[in-house]
Amino acid sequence: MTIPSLFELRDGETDLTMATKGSSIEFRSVRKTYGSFVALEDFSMTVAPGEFMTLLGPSGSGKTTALNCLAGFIDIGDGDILIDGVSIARVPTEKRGIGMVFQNYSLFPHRSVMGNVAFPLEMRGMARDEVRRRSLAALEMVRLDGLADRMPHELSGGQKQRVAFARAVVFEPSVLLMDEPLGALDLKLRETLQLEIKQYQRQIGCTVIYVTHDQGEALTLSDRLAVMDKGVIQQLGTPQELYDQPASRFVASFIGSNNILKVFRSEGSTVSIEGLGAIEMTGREPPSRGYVALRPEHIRRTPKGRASATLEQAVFFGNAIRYVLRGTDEKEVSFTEPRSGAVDVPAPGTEVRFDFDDSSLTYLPA
Amino acid sequence: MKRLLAVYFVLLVGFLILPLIFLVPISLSASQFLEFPPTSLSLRWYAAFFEDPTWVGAAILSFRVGIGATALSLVVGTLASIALVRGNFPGKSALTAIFIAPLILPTVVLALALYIVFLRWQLVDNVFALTLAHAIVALPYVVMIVSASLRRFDTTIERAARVLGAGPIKAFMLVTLPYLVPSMFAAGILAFFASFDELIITLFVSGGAQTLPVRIWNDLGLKLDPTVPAVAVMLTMLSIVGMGIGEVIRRRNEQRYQSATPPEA
Repeated sequence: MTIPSLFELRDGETDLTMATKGSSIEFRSVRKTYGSFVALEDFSMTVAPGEFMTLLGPSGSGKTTALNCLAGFIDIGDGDILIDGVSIARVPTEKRGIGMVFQNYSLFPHRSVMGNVAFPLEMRGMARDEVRRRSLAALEMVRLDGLADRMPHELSGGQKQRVAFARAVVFEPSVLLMDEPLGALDLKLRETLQLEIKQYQRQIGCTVIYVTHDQGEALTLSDRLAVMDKGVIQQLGTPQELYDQPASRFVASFIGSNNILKVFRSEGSTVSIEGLGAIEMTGREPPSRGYVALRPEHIRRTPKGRASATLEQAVFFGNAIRYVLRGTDEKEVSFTEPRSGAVDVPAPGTEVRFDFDDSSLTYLPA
Repeated sequence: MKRLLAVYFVLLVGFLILPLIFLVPISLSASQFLEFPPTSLSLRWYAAFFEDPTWVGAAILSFRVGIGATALSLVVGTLASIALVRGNFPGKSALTAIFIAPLILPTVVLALALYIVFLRWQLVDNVFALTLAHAIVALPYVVMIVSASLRRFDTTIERAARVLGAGPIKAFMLVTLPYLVPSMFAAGILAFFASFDELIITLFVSGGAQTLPVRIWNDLGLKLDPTVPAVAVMLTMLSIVGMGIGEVIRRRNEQRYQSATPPEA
């Protein structure tokens, strides 16, 4: 009797084992240094089975270091990493049962597409027929079964990454790591593959840790994401939480576009804010110091607005117009206005009055 | 200026290959002596080579020693390259220099040193000892070519093999070694010819045994008939074929790996 692999399920069929397909992953205060450089500092997080977790941050923020510790390419310094509650600190890479997709695809150049996808199964000593059947099923999932005999150098970038993905999941790992898998591809292809990745992951049910520096990608794909900087998790939460309630200036500016404005002082219900001037707040207690973040889509143009600034330029976005203003204190403030029907765009140099809901302000510490 | 450059080019290439071209008609001469241009053509000196058991014996010995030295230097040289490229230990650069040294050291010095050692251990006139000596001369080629290739290897491919289930040795054998094979082949060809045309060390340590170069050398002292040019032409053909095969393999490999590893984003 042959057990059908996950990739062979037809649409609408449900795999009963799916609920247990993913593993839980736990980082326990991992610390990793290279000489005096701290790559990872007190790195702790728990990823639920089947969850899509993204590590987002600029280069050098420690996200790849965390991934490499989990994969076993580098020793875990201090701390521990557990998969399904079991420490993997002393388990060699090949025994961790992890699937991985790399930025530069890292296909085996001397093996065909089929040979690449079959590799993990061959390493697990599976019978030849079974290897072939499962490899083909995985290739079918990524719609490359017609190219099984091609060599990697005969494939396009997108095809290579699909092969790399099929190779990483063909043995149905409970954990899948992806290190900037779309980084080498152009924007259009990236968006297509994002959707595919998400769909495959739901189908397979594995736990994913995804590393990227592209915040848009992180918001699209993740169940939760951790924003990292200088080896430390700055904030961890769902895409919506991080977008709506950034905890720091770093997160507020890294995710989406944002106006980050300094708070000068407040007297009673009036607060003086960089770029906006003195604002009379009614809805909520005004911030006394630190910063506020104000998303461009939360600002609207209105003749009775509480703030005003000089229009520097209006940028045409197709479905919206982005206004870039400069306040009397030279601070830049920008906002987007959805473009439905005829809109009278003021000329640069004009004074523009605008307003916002007090509830859309996020208070940030200094 | 352009014409001057063309003249320089013709002179240089001529200087490099003209002596070889002269050998061909001389070897095809029907005469008893080295004559140029030959008055009549024949293949008699090629036949003479195959009919003389001392020539054939010398060729067979050269092949035996050459193949043995190539195999030995490839195994040792590849392993050494891995240590020199991937390892991190004190004295690494000194060790690299030692592996390259036989190429730079005057061959006479090496020959004399080996002769003294072989005398003491009674290894003179021993085919295996001769093979070992040739392997020393061939080793630098292997270490240089294989380490250069290993340094260019994208190690994430090996990491991919590891994380997908291969142990360190398996990952090396299944992923890194196939990558190294073409450069090992190129190194092997150089190593083989380093041994095949080795004369000085062989003269010192071979006792009486004659490899092809030694046989030619001995012939020069006695008489000089067109057998020697005939041998020389055959050796040249052999080298051209060897280099040709090496080049074809190198190109095929380059294409694969160039498109497989795009530049770092």
